[in-house]
Amino acid sequence: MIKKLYAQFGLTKQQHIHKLGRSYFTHSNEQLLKHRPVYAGRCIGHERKEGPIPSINELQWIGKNTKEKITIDEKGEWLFICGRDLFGKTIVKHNKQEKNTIVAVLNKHQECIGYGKVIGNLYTNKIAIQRIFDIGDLLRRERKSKR
Amino acid sequence: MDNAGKKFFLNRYKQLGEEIQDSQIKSAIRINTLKTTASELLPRLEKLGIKLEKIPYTTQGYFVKKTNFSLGAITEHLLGYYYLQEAAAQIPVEILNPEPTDTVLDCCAAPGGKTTQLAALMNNQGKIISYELKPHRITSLIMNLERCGVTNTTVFSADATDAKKLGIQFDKILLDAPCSGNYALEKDWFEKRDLNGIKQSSRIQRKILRTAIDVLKPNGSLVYSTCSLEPEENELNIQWALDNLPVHIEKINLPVGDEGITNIFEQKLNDQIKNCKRFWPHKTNTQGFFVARLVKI
Repeated sequence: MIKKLYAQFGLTKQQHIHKLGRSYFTHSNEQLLKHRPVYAGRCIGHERKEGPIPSINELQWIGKNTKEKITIDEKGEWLFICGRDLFGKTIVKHNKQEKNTIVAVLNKHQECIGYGKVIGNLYTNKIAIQRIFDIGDLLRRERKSKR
Repeated sequence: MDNAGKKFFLNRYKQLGEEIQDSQIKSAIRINTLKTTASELLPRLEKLGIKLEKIPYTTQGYFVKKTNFSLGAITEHLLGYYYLQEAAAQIPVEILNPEPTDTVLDCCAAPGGKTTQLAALMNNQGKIISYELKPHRITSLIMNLERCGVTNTTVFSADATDAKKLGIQFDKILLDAPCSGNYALEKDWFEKRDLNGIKQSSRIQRKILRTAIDVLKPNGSLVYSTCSLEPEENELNIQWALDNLPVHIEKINLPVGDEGITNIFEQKLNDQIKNCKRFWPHKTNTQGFFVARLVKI
């Protein structure tokens, strides 16, 4: 599952992964894994109904290494981490990506704050990127679990 | 009821020598050094209109003086650059002072403020074994560990007394015990709590404390903390530990908080209990808090 996540961005990564519950980890202490932990070592990502999502650290690795990325302005950043799609006018840098390309979304500090699919013209004042995952998802999931 | 209610508790505090006055808890953050530094983060937060003031008695803590929005919802928080953590809650881990080579037991870990702080002080090296009994609190714990980039921790969804099964002797232990809380932290606290509940908490705390000392290496240290002001969960538990476990109490050198109380409702306790620290909200502008450092003999 998690390999598919990297493949969307044209990336591959060799690592020994353990699945604990619905999350993926790299962990070197096999002895502790025998006792069935719920978190162990470096979190890579989680399995969701919609497909796998990366951990925050893994998202940064993707954002740094993929060629398919766009940079957005502060207004776009705020809307995006609140779970909204992106308008073309908020995009300040891109590589002329074609429709249906999955792109990492970076803020002005070049931090990856999520990713989405190109669905429209990147130059116009219409929805250009359909949000797939953003870092605000973490907060929304936590709030949902508390309800 | 004669063992509950605001009057009952205020009278108890008076017997301990404190007249409770209005207090305001200052909200605070702790910079996560696994991901950033103060020199990188502070100017960035300042540009967003957030005014901070260094907490003088913690290494990475800042009081929030002004903010126009929720500090839990911005990019810098979501990326794990800081943790929203009240000032007194930052103290136990600083006192435990784990080294990067240590194996540390974290007894009641959720929601993860102290676990992420342990990992930061250990620079993601060494080993942290965390336990959390309540399944509904595991989600928050995992989210926070992930957000803060913690990679040296293994979490078990179980009672901390299960730590014996691992066969590990720990260098250091953090026991931030489940407790009855305090009035400064929770609205209507006085109406919700009674002495029976506090005594029940105390029994659970002693059980965890006994197990924790069992799995601690000789000369290893254990930091015990609660966010309770009730002596049954604090000084009286430490007295019990001195009477029943192979420990002594080390002095906590902090420029804030009162020393532990050694005369509780006419019961004289061991003088070592003065080495503990007690935080009255109206004196420290923090939540109510208690912390002790036990060393295994």
